[in-house]
Amino acid sequence: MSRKLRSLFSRQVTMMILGLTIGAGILTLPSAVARVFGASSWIGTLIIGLFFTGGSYVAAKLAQMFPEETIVEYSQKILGKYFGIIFSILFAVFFFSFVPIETRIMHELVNISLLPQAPSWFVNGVFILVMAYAASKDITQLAQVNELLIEIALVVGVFVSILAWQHFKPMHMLPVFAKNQLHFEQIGAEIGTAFSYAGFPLVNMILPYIRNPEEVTRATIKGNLLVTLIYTFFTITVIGVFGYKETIDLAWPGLELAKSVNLEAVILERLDLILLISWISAVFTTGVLAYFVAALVISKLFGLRNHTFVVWAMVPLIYYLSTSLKNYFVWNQWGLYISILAIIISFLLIPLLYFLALIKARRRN
Amino acid sequence: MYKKMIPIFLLIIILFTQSGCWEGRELNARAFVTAVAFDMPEDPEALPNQFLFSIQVPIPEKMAGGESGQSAGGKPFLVFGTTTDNVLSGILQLQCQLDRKIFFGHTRLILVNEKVARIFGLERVLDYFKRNFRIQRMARVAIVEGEAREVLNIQPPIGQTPSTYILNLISPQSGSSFNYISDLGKWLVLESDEGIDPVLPRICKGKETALTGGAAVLKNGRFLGWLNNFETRGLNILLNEFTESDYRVKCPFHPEEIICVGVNNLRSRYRLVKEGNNPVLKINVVGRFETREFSGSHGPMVQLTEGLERAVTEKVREEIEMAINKAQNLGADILGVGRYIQAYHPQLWAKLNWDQEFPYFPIKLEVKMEWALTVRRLGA
Amino acid sequence: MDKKKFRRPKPPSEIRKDKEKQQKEAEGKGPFLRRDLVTNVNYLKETIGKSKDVVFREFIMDLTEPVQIVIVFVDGLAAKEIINEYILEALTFQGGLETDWSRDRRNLARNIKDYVLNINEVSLQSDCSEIITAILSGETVILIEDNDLAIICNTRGWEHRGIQEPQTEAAIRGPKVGFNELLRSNTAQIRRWIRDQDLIINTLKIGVRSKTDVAIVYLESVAKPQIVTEVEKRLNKIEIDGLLESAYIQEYIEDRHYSLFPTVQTTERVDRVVASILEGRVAVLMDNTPFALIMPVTFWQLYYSAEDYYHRWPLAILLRLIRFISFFFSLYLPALYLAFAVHSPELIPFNLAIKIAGTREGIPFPVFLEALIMEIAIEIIREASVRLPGPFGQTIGIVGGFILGDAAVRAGLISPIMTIVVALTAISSFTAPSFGVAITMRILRFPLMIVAQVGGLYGLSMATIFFLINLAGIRSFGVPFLSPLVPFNFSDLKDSIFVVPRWAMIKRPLVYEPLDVKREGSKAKNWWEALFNPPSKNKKGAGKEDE
Repeated sequence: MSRKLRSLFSRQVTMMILGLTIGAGILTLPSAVARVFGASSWIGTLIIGLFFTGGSYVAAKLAQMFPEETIVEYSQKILGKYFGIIFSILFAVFFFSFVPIETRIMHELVNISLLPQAPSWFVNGVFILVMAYAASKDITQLAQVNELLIEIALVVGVFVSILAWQHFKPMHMLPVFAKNQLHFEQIGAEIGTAFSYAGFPLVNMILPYIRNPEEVTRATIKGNLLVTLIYTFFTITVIGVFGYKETIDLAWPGLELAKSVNLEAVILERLDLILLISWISAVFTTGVLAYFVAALVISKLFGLRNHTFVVWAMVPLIYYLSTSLKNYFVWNQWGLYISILAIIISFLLIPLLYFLALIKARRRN
Repeated sequence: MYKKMIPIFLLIIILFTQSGCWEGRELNARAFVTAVAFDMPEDPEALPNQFLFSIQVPIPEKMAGGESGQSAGGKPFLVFGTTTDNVLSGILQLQCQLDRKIFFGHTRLILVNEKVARIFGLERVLDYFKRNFRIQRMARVAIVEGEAREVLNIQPPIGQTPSTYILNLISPQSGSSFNYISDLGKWLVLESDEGIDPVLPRICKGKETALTGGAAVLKNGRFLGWLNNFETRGLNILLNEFTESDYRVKCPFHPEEIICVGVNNLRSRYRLVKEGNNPVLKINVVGRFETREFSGSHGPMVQLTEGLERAVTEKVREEIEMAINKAQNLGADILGVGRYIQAYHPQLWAKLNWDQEFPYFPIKLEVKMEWALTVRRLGA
Repeated sequence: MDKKKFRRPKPPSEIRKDKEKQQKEAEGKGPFLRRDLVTNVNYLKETIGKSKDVVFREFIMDLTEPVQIVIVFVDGLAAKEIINEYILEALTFQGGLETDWSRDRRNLARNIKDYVLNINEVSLQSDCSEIITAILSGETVILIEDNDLAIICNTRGWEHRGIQEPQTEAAIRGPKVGFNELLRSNTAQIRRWIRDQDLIINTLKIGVRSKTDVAIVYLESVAKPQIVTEVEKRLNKIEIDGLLESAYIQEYIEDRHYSLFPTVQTTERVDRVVASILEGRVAVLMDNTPFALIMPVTFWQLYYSAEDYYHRWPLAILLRLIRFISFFFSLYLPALYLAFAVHSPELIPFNLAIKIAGTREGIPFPVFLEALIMEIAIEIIREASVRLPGPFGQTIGIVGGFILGDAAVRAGLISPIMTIVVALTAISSFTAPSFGVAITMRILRFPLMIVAQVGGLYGLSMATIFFLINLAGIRSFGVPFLSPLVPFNFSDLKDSIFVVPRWAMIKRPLVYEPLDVKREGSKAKNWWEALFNPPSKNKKGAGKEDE
């Protein structure tokens, strides 16, 4: 890796983690968390977020041990060639599986609000093509696009949330951890939240492109803490406005939030559509970054110089998969699988790699 | 460069081959529904599970105003109705008669007849609107005493669409505490919340205008009974949704004279205390009033203070007590007592069977009103 | 020749020179002058003498022994007064001068240059092709008998436009000077603004046939050297027969040849060029055009007007804000209206929606066609008003815009709201401070309208994302196009959507990575710190110390 490639600022790394992590998941997260934690959902969001922040710390430390390499290369060094390749494939599959599901959710959101009868080939097709176009670019450009889009999405999202606080009822946040509201037996919902949190393994792929590799741990943790904070704030808003029972019934609490406020002064009546339009960019950043990382891993595995070919080759597969997720329940199931994979990778495999790498490094000394 | 052009071309081809018509329509090819109403069927042959579903559609040409609009006579809107057993088939039936696509994006008012609310329940008639993404949670829902579609047919004295007129009557800008302000979203939240039953505003048709004031008590989506204007005002105080209102009390010195006072800040607080072994809910209401009109020969006097404060306190307490009594009589916890207990005393809440215990739950009311004098004119 | 050679042997230095010349000629570097005047003159007459505007004036200079001299110049390009007064007069009125130098016939050229000519810019040249270029650029060449060096005197002087207020970039406040078509006058203007030893004006000739003078202007101690060398490299790469306008250069040196957004800024305002040079950017000026090129440039910079810096900062902020809003309008307004009206009418407030629906009643075209017709009509009107001379142009604007629009509405062909939308769009696009960027929006508006018709707000947002991807990829001479927004640069925000007071802009824009970062004398580290230390406060403190 030459010095020339190192073009990302640490701020951009934080933004990339935000961009990859915050996507379609946030729209459904409060509903899933409310199912498990009831009125005290925000504590649940916070705790899960802190867990993942811890995981991100390990991932960043692992990445920093090999500042010139991506996880594809050093996993083969640590685990041996075959296990390394298997791990890399798992890693690629994990990121890849985000893309069709984000596409499908995009289709759903567009269909319920913006273009009620638009066929999937149009919505998915346009989305996938634009995503592929972006993912085929180099990482510098991608980081800039991501920075811009996620900022727009977050500003609008936070703005709408703050507006919704006029309906906020503190009583909805109480009681804290009432026994009859906690449903830890809803394991599906619990694991499913990981879908909204797991984005940080990105660090292990992009470190060779970062200008100051020593700042990466801080940037990663900052990114994950920000994610946690945003999720917590959003959950507090949603639960405070709707109460946990209504939240469970809602498919898209975020959009409903926007539907219950309006800004008479502005010419646009419907904030939900404004939120949705800005949220397209958040979904897009998640999809495109996952797409990029998956393509990068695969091109590294095959020793390709450029990931562009892989990106375009994946388009038909993504399209096929996105259309095969036929309804909410199917993709929720898929999201559950991704979440399980996310938990395995971020809390089992990456710590394992880190541990082995530490042992190897010590032995060498 | 060649590679970069591929997606652009693909996009353009896709866009052009299907110049989309997916639900895309011109504005003047849509029928904007401004309000919907639910009534009992007039048709004697109607089945028992059918209701009358009406929509109000403005006529754009007459609404647009300007050069061509005003001259044409007649009402600037139409009210269509059909007998149906669910909303969607009702819409389909109406669509058969209209050449323009019925569009719910601007529906801001849903009126339900009391009988429909009692027999069918709001859950059933409003289900379509809960799920329809185009309808905002800010759409106002009201229960109508009498025919709901008659209310939609009222030509408003000022302004153009009756829906806007009624909307303004039952929204916060009406400024009347006799109204209970609610909307679809609030109703849904209250319906789902534990330990509170929702209330919706009441509307009825007057001679030529619509009349508001009062509220409908609902339980499990079904209409139970009315609150009158004063009970509604009391309820607003209890739920801290009171904005501003005037009370008239008798002058402490001259029983035949009336003093009007204005109240614009009232706070109520719930507290659960134990009296012996039994939990008792204590409601504290504190507020300030100012004197606004004197019918008699004297203005504000320092001697009035004690008597006036006592009289106003009595008046406010009376209305709140009416509301509490009504709620307990109807067995619907519109006061949110259950919600309070659930939130702050979850252990107690777990033991209670609220539906049965609420009518007999001891509630103690403490009201304290203070005279906050703003004086423009002393003396008579 | 051989005889002469035999009679007067050449000194060794000349033999070496001749050898060098022969070698160079063998390499194909144009013939060199001979010692024989007739051969030289014949050669010149053969090459450029066919045109009647090339004047060959032969005369005899009366030195120790009379010397045959020919001066060559182009009629109209060379200033005749200078030739008459300072060349002919100086050379002919020497009257049998008897000095050491005048006897040295072989070095007469050098000596005449040193002792006789009273012209400021004089050089010696022996390369015929250079000489010809010099003659054709308006200089006067003096050929002397027995000398293989010609004297080139700068007598350039031709008719040109005076310095006028720039027409395309008007400003209320600020200097009313623009460039003209004369490169020297333009560089002189820049010199007048920046009297710094580090101001480099590097000239090169581009164009195989036009041989146009192109000047690269920058501050040596400020501009990033890599940018300067990159500019020079790209300029040297240009292979073209003739340059007519700096647009030619622009198209050759742009980073993205297929992008709709210009990555080089053009201006004819002197102050603008000077400001960019002070920021550490590089300006390229060309002869024969008043339009200078500035590079690198960021996207936002294209929307700044020179005036922004002359007004006080509150007004500047307002102006920028308005300009960005109108940028948004001119790009998106028709498309947004289409998307709202066709796909998402719930976004239009009810009262407005019903008004629009009412006025659209009975209009024969769908919204899309209506918008397209109106947009094309307004483009036609705009083009017509540019082509027509001055006052007529305005008339066309009024007649076309006002009467046509009103008639169309009255006839019920077009809805009034559409005329409002289109008019607002057109007016918004006029706020762009330069023509080049306004054009981008005019072009993009049409595809956006198609996208809005087909895909509604979803299509629009995907199209916007597509633009952003492209914008983020653009680098103007290595500088990210969207900076300082992405990559985010807090220091550069001082001069972006908002403007901080002049004294707080203590640093040059960091995007251009200037060698000398600091711009103002303030002791503060950043602009936000500087905001708390206005200059007057410092002065007060200093005054107290003096007491």
